[in-house]
Amino acid sequence: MAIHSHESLSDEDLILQVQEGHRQAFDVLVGRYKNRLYNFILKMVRDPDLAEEITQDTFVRAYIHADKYRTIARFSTWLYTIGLNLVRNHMRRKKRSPIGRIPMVGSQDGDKVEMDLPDPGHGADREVRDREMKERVAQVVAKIPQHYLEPFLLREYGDLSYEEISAATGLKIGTVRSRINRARSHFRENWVTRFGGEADTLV
Amino acid sequence: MNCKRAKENISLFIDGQLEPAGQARLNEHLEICPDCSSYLDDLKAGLAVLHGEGMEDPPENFEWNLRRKIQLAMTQRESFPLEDRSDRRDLWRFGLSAAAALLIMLSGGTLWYQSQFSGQSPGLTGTGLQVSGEEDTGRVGRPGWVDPLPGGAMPVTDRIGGAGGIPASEMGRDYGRPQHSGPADSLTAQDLN
Repeated sequence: MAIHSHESLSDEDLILQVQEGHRQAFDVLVGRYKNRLYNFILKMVRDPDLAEEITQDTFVRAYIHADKYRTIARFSTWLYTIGLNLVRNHMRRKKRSPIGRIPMVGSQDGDKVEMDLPDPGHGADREVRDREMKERVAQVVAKIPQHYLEPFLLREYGDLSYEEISAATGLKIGTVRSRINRARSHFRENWVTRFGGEADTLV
Repeated sequence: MNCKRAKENISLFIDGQLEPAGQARLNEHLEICPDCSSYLDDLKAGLAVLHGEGMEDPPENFEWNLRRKIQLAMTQRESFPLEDRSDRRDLWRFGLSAAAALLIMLSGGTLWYQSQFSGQSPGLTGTGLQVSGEEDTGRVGRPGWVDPLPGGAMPVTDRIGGAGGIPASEMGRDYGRPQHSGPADSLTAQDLN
């Protein structure tokens, strides 16, 4: 089956096609999810190379274990659960490793985060402005406490429901709701602090 | 509605989880509370950027690298079938069986040793499991042990603790699962295993 004929299928139909050996169906799923999954993982680990590696490992596992997928869950929930588990494994290893404790740029460990941004005076071109925006957003998210981050990012990038987030994280639904609310409160506060009066003109 | 509750409801509203009555109450609050109103505006603006301009693109060669990784993983899977989880389970079963066999052999050796030297050393009489000062009843287990299979249902344990213990000639025989010799209606799950 050609890729264009796969495009109209739902995620769940596509993964069933993968189970039947249609590799191209998986390419369509990768195309649909790579951006959001990458951003979810990047905001969790805050390291582009590592985020790429974990995102790819997530897809590799999804492909190799496609036969384990059951239609009782949405494909996206299944995929993000795999990604979340890989991120958690990484975090556990990082905690054990002394080198992992070095605070990264934009992490909440370093209170004063210097923004390494291009001079806005020379930022007439769109590319520079875009880069600046991405950096700032990353810093706003990085200030959200880690335990609020998982449910928040699963909601924002994964578009998972509270029930699905609860299943993926092992948290109770009330906790999921409350952590998303608190994460948003931090996000908004950090957003206003970073962007201040610019906020209205940015969107 | 206070501001704390209003902010909780704003989060639910963004997720489409607030029922119409809750939305109406939230709207009433927002009309009279500029702080919560600006909280909602800021949050919506921030989240819009998070989903739009704030999104990072994966590296250009992402999909090419992914294909290569999948090919490699599939090759490894074919070359090393033990990576398969079911094979790992088989390996576990084999390991557990080997450990159980070793345990049985060690126990047999210990009992044979005891049977050979019983009476020569106070520490080796009977089953060796008696608490100091207790009379050797010839049963395996703690004082107060109750035979779960009355009527001679545990011949092995009866024999191994007896005065003479297991004769060397019988070593390796009957030393395993308890053999049922009682009435049929006294069969337990242990006998059927």
